Amino acid sequence: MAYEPVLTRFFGGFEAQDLDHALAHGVYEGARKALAMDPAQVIETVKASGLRGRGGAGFPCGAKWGFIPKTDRPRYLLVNADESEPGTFKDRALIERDPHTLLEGTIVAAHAIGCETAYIYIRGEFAYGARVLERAIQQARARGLLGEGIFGQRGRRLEVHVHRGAGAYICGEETGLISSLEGDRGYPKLKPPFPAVEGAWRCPTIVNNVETLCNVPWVFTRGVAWYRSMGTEKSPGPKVYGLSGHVNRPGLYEGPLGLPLKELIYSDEFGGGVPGGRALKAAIPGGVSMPVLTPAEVERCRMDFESPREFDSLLGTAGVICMDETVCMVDALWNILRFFHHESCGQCTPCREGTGWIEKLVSRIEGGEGAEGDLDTLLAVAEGMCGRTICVLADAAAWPVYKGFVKKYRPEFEDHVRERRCTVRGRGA
Amino acid sequence: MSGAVNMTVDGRPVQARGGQNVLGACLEAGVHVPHYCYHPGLSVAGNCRMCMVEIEGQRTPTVTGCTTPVAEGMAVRTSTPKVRAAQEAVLEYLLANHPLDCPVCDQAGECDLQDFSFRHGRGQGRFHEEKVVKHIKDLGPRVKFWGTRCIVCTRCVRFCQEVSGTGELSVIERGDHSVIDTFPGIPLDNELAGNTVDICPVGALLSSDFLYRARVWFLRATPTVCATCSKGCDITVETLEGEVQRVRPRPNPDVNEWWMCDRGRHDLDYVASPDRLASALLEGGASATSDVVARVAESLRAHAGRVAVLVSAWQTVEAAWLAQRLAQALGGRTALVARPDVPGRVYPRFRIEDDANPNRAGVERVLGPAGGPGAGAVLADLTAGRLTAALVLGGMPRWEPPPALVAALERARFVAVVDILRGPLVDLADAVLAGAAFVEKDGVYLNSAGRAQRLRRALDPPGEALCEELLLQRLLAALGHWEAGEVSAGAVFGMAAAAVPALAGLDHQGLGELGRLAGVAPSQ
Ligand SMILES: Cc1cc2nc3c(=O)[nH]c(=O)nc-3n(C[C@H](O)[C@H](O)[C@H](O)COP(=O)(O)O)c2cc1C
Ligand code: SF4
Ligand code: SF4
Ligand code: SF4
Repeated sequence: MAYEPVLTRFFGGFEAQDLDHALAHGVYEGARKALAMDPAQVIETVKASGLRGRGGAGFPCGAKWGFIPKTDRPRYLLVNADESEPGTFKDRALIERDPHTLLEGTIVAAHAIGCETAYIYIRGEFAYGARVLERAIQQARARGLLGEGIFGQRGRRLEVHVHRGAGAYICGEETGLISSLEGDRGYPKLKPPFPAVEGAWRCPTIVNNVETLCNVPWVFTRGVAWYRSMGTEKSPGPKVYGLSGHVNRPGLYEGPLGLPLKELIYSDEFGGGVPGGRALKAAIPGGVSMPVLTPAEVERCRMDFESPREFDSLLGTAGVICMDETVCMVDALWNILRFFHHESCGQCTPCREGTGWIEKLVSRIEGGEGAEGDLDTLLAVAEGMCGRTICVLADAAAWPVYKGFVKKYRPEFEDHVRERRCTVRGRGA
Repeated sequence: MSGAVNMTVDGRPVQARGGQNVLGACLEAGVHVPHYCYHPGLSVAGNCRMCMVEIEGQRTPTVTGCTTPVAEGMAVRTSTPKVRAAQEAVLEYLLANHPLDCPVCDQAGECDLQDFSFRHGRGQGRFHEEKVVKHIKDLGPRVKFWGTRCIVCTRCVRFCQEVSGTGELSVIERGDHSVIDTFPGIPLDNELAGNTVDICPVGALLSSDFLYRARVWFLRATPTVCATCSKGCDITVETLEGEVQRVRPRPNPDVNEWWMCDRGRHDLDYVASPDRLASALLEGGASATSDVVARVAESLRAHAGRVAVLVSAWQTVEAAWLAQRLAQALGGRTALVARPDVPGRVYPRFRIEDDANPNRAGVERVLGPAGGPGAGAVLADLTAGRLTAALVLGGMPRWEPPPALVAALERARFVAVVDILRGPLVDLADAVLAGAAFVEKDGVYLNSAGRAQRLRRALDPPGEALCEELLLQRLLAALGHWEAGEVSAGAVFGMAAAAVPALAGLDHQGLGELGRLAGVAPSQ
């Protein structure tokens, strides 16, 4: 049976920015159905669908909504549109090409958790996306889908605000996002309390990824059984995959969760293989913090929340980065570590000092100035950063080192140190 | 939230308070857990990651003690191999970009980074990369910042947000370029700013005044009480070679918590001022103290029944009580003189009092309702010639005696002044005795809340100067009204406490480090 794209069905153009076009194609039907249910029922339905968060961690969406305590305080829904993880570019497309489905998912989530104010925290660089969203919100307000008395139900209201970030990856981490939204430095907060209990302005808060919310309406329009017919038992539903690096057809592709990574990279329907007939050397499954996979692992890995664990990796955002045989693994790791060094918020000692340290160390090795013992230090410093910080950025920076590149391509690193040059690209002494 | 929580720390039973965190409970129980960002007077930031402990039966290998609430039956381990590995790792990260310039750093000797590295660190660093260099600059007129030494614990930032509420400081940049700075055009110039230097666990914030003045291990520290306003903050005065080098707050939960203000911190210049009186004076010329004491006693006796004894609100309880005895012996009248109010200020978590006198409450309680409040009636009697001699116990720095007082004293036929600085009163006095500044004497002050706290002698008075309670004992002896021989301030306080109901039950020993509330409020 051919896969019917739902999340990316409007990706061919920009028509769905227009509310009439969106309505004509059934957008907001899911919200209409969900709003006829009571919130507990909505949460139960999403739980039953098995929808897991698409922001990277795969947390069950319905369960998260269920954590909202019963209280009179305001509750907030924050839509995480900060998408900044290198190799990840799905949310941007969803925002620019299908803003109304995102708003629809937002309406359903807000109804489920009893919230009247939602914020879409959008990466600062997504200036166009922010304009698209502002316009979509205006249109929806004018049609009574947002604002006071939404969907013709008196007393029910939802305001959605677009808040633009200022250029920090860490503001995509949910509590960093909250700090930033509150007007503070984008410092992640200590947990507990978790946002669901005490989040934005110390009120109960749910943070959901853009793609997660774009999934939500389908659970109501097509039903739980349809939703679960895709993907695996533990990772059901559709997924937008990103493909970049050394593939013939980079871009965004939709398929069920659990798609074989090999198929995503090589099938003509998706990536179409590695350019120039060169061999694949490594692939990162989902955003650069997820440990890299070797070709042998790529053969066996499926793109769901379980399979990559077998290879000490994770699905993450499912933004796959392919590297062919010309890529130096030391150089690739250095590139990744530069990012984390630049993006650490600097609160926690291990992350603040460790991200710079491992970046400089790898830079030195790639530059032909590695020394005996450097690799052991690199691994020790990276491991020392893990599990000891306020958020997991430190782990995300360390995993590619000790679970990924150095672990899986150690001989290449050793060659660099021994020969005091880049042995793949001939740089250095 | 409160209520006792029973737990164990390294196998030892410890009783914590509900709502407390594990680190706070350990520290209060006397268990040393190294930490940087945690400060009991500030919100928990949990950023240094140093206070790692292991909680038995928990899934996570180590947790930060400052972010873990205590729980009944909890078993905390502070020194397991996992804990030590985590501490070692954090210290190594902290030192990665540190310039290791301890030999030229003022903090050396009282630096938590130096101390914890010695106790918990690896011997050998493994960081061989280029270090990040950060700015060194004045954050304000009295606080200097060394970015290279800063460990970004944000104590200083949180202090300015939470305690002073002035918010001048912020972290700017991010990652390993994170550095403390002020907002453009808004320097760190609030009256509580000095506290940021005290709470900085390393040598990143230093006092511009103290900079390079002394190695801290040579300083002699004396616990005493600030005299600049009636709040009576507990302080430590640090001296070297007969001079005050530094003044820092001493924590007292009932008075000043962990803080003091910069008014009090920088109010001691007068102690070493060239205007200090270092000997007794007779008609303007230096004289032996014993001669002047005899002369004063003789003159006051000659005016018996017409003597005014003016006691300043800077005198100790002991001196005030002796002055009271003296007035009784001479059939004289007492009155309190005080510096006028200086507007205080209320910060979110600190209050500077308006009353610019440290012991108004104490002197008032001793002199009693008749002799205490206001010198108006006594001054009127001096002016009218009903009182003809005066003894003034001054000792108030930066005090401009009011014209009415000067005029009244000018009418008196004999004026004796006990003071510490030259000024209008000394100039008009017939006889002058050199007294001691508050850092030069023992005694008791009562703050505005009626809390009795001990002053302790950190320095000797200059030259021939003497503490007032000694001078007064000698005066009383010369008048034949003192049989006890020369006794200490503690002994005088004992007598005062036995005689003054408001001081009942108090004694020097019992006041301890933190003082005690005096029993009875002064009746109006
Ligand atoms: C360093 C860091 C950066 C993150 N950046 C993003 C991001 O850009 N977008 C996003 O949706 N989630 C991001 N996350 C994950 C969020 O913290 C959070 O788990 C997610 O938004 C929850 O939404 P979901 O449950 O719908 O997936 C990031 C997490 C970390 C640790
Ligand atoms: S782990 Fe890194 S990014 Fe996360 S809060 Fe700590 S310093 Fe900031
Ligand atoms: S200056 Fe001192 S108190 Fe402030 S953040 Fe740096 S180390 Fe902490
Ligand atoms: S508040 Fe008053 S007592 Fe405390 S330090 Fe300042 S001046 Fe001294």
